[in-house]
Amino acid sequence: MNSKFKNLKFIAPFIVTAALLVTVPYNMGGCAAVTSQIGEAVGGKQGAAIGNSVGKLAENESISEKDEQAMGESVAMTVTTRYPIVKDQKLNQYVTLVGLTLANASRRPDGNWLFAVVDTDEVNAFSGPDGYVLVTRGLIRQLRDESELAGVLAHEMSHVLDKHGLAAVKQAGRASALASLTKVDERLSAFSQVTDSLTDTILVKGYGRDQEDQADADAVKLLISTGYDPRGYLQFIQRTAKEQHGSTSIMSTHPGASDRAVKIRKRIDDSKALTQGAVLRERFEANTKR
Amino acid sequence: MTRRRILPAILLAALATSAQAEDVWIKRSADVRNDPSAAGDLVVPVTKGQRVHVLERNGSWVNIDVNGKTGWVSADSISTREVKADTDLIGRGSGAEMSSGAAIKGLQPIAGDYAEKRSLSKAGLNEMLALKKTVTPKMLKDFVAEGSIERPARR
Repeated sequence: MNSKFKNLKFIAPFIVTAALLVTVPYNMGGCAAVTSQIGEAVGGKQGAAIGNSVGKLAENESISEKDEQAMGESVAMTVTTRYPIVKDQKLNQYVTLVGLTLANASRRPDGNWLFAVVDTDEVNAFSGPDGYVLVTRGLIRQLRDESELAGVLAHEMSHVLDKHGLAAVKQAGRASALASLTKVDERLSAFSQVTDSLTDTILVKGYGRDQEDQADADAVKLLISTGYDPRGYLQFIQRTAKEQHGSTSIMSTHPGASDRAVKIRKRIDDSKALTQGAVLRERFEANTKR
Repeated sequence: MTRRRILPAILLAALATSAQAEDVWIKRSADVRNDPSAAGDLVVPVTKGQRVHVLERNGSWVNIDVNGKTGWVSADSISTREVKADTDLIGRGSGAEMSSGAAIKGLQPIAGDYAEKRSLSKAGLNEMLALKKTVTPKMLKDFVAEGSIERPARR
């Protein structure tokens, strides 16, 4: 895999990140179209039941915390089955410590935050509802210091805190579809098929533009409130933008890194952070064996 | 101290405790921890709508009593107004019927069944849970101090 391709793929965490391994196209305004797609995806009588139910319930249903937990667990199991967790306790602990440092300054310090590095050269990161955050070894290699790692984790954690994955499910009426099925086997079947469908979706699509922007904005806030230098995250996105320049890859339907870098820079300037914040290059290098 | 003095002291202490005591509701699920830190060990999970007893406040953390078990949650996780519990969509009812795949403590039944159905390994999830336990509040505190990671003063 050449370097350019790697860098195109690495942006996935920010565009495709997955607070559910699920995302929605950002032109998803019409719920009706989505509703029929779900019915088609599931297929058969059950599919019809799901499709028919969505329009009636989608706007009023909420996703319970147990549902959120089940989705997060499913995402984590899907990712770690595909990519095993690295057998490097030091690295995993380091990423966990950075993540928990951010968590302590977040609005959910008592959340179910779990972090780990998965063993693949692919450059990517995933976050599942309820606090599961996974980054790839390939992504770690792209980073230069702890503030950049903190930026990636803060972005992922913001997707969790803002419940973007659940929003995607609700927006698509998928949770309502599950609610309408009362038999255990039907619910499991629907859950399985919907989750499969969503997993496929995230590999080629991404979060909506607004959700990515919101996660960037919230990441900057979290970095500043924790005490990390938010400019590390900006530098990382800027490097990505250079690699991405001129590409017509999957990024074409998502916000480009250049646009995001401009917005992130403005957010940092607007924040008027009094302190520069921690960068910690040496500690990062010592813990990631560079 | 004579018995005459001890009794009023006990009564006063009890009154003081009850005056501080405060019943609140959990407004979102949280892990009650043994330490006011994101790295604290889980004492007991609490869910939205649960009524608990506040024992002490410490900055952004609150020490609560949950049916005799005590620990810390974020002040943002409680409400002084009554909060109703969720109605589960996926996990409601029939838990016992769906629990065959739930080998991990806390794993939602439908997630366990999904894992069985899709031949997903639960090893990674177990590793994540085990990993979290290796990170203690002291390690986190030392990590932050060593890196001089300081929260900016509020303006």
